[in-house]
Amino acid sequence: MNDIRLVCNFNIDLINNFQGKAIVIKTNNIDEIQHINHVVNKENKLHCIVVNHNGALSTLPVTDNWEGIPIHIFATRFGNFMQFIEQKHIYHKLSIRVFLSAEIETNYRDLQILSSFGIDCGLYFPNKSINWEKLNDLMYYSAYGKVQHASIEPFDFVIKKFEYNTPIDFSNVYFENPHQYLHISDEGKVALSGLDLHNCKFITENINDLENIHQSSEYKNVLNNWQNFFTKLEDCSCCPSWRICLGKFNHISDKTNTCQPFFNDLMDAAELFHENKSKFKTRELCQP
Amino acid sequence: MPTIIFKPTESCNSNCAYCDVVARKAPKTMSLELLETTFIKINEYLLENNKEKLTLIWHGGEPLLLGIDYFKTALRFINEHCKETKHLLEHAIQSNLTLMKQEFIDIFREMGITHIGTSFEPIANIRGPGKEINSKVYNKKFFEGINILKDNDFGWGFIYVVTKKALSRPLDIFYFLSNLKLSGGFMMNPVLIYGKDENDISITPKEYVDFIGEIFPVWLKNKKRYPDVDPFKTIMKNIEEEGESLGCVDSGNCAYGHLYIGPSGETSQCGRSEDWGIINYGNINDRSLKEIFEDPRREELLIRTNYLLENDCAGCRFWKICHGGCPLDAYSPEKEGLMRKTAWCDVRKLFMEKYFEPITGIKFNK
Ligand code: SF4
Ligand code: SF4
Ligand code: SF4
Repeated sequence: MNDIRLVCNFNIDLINNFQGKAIVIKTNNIDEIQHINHVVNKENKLHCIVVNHNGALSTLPVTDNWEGIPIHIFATRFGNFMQFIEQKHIYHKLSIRVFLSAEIETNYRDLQILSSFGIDCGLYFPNKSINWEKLNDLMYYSAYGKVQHASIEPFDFVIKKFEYNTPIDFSNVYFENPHQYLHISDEGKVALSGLDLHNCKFITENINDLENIHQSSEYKNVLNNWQNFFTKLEDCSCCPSWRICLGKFNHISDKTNTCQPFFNDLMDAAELFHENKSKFKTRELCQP
Repeated sequence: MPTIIFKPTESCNSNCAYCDVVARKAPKTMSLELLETTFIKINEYLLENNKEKLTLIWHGGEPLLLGIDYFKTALRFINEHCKETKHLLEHAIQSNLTLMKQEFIDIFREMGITHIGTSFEPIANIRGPGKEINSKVYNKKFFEGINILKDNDFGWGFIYVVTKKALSRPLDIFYFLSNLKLSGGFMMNPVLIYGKDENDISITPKEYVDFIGEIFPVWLKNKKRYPDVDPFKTIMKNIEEEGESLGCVDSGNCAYGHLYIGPSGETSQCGRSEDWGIINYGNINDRSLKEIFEDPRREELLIRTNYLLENDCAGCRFWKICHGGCPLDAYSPEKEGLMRKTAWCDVRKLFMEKYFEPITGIKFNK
């Protein structure tokens, strides 16, 4: 279980239960960032701080005191360009990645701008509304853009991690893959995803069970959930790009004109990178 | 290395639409006494031929139906009777996995097995138990079996049987099978119906060729994504290696390489020849393995290859990768004997000329 990272709120009593663990801390309070870094790194290893900023990125007062601390910011939108420009130089000093919501059309363009500024960034998908054309444009920019630019997730993850014989779960980028991340409530109950945690769906209510979680049949079943797709010959099971999507957009009805062509293109990009790996330089922030 | 297709039971817990075993009214299982005799005979053979190795493929029916105790007893017989030769005896197993348990894995590991051959069917109601061929039940158990293999670091490969129901969706089927096992390791075979086609699933050889022909360019373009897919991989490999790794049906030299042993001790050239009731070599109770491996009927198979080279197949551009095909596919009850090329000749050529050569740009020369 040592390879599993834990995702939880900043709760000192809870964190004191862990030793030598890689921990992702969720917070909405940016004033706590340095303190979190200090406290968590005492007995454990801070993997990343996730800040949910329910507003425009430009309004977030970043500071160079955060230098060296791995931070992911989830913001709704980009916001005011001039306001952001004033802080741009600080971003360059930080180990920070900025995520914007796929729900807002302008974010696709704004992520391209952030990336061209050399700021690592990404899209997150809070609901079903995705502009596949814009997503594809952004992916092309991320994968093939000639001008120098920073990474854009989840494309960068898929492209860099692509291996021929292994499926890739880009939920890692959002600390959501139960193979690698487990979510812990303030009471020490263990959930397999952020959503499960939100819905109080726990695989164990006892934090001490964590050590043997690999033996839990419920845990094993979830890891094998992908097999449910293979009980029917349709959509995801016969999708050429299954291995890099794993059915994440299964709810979409018109897959042949939306997710499938997008993921086919992404897989081509990933394969191209894989074949020419040695020629590319890569820069890693907090490794998803 | 000769291969023994060992069928200790004809019983099966499934009722697959294309299987001839289920059509048999009273499936037989090999007695423990005969099982012991078999290993005694194997030992005698290996003592005399200690430069050789044998591969014993446990087949069925469904071999896991034999139960854990049966395999434990087999292991005891091997340890008792093949003390000095068991290092020359390799085991493999072909199972539908639906009865897999940890106890089997533990025994298989002791037998040196770390990889299991199986089969899978994405189309509903072709593989499965009961009258209604319940694929839901089958698939659930199949995946439980796969998970046990995974937990134990066992490998697996599988066979997919192309039926009439698959013909309209070759690429869907191909992607499905590839997604099911990203590291590859599957083979697409045409369905072979021996008796009446009660489930209306049989296909013509040409339909099979057009099915795999549609998949071939996709596979070729993305060979690294879909590495180990047959029949394509074998054809390509043999072009690269000049016919070194052909399967039995293409090699022209299965004569001394195969042996079938059935539940009553009956022997034959292979599982297919036994199914067809031809090229039989008598019973293991009455003959030594040496006698069976040296049966003069085997020579006929070699003579056939040489004969075809001078006759039916003379001048054929594809000889190097075909060798006249499987003798069983040349057999017909009306025209007894095996001295003719496979009935699949035209479709073999069709695949090569319509798909393989134009798509790869590789041209076969005489
Ligand atoms: S790309 Fe679409 S069809 Fe393919 S696996 Fe993902 S959700 Fe399913
Ligand atoms: S008779 Fe045909 S199927 Fe049997 S071993 Fe020979 S080539 Fe293979
Ligand atoms: S393709 Fe036909 S003629 Fe050529 S070797 Fe095969 S069976 Fe003989």
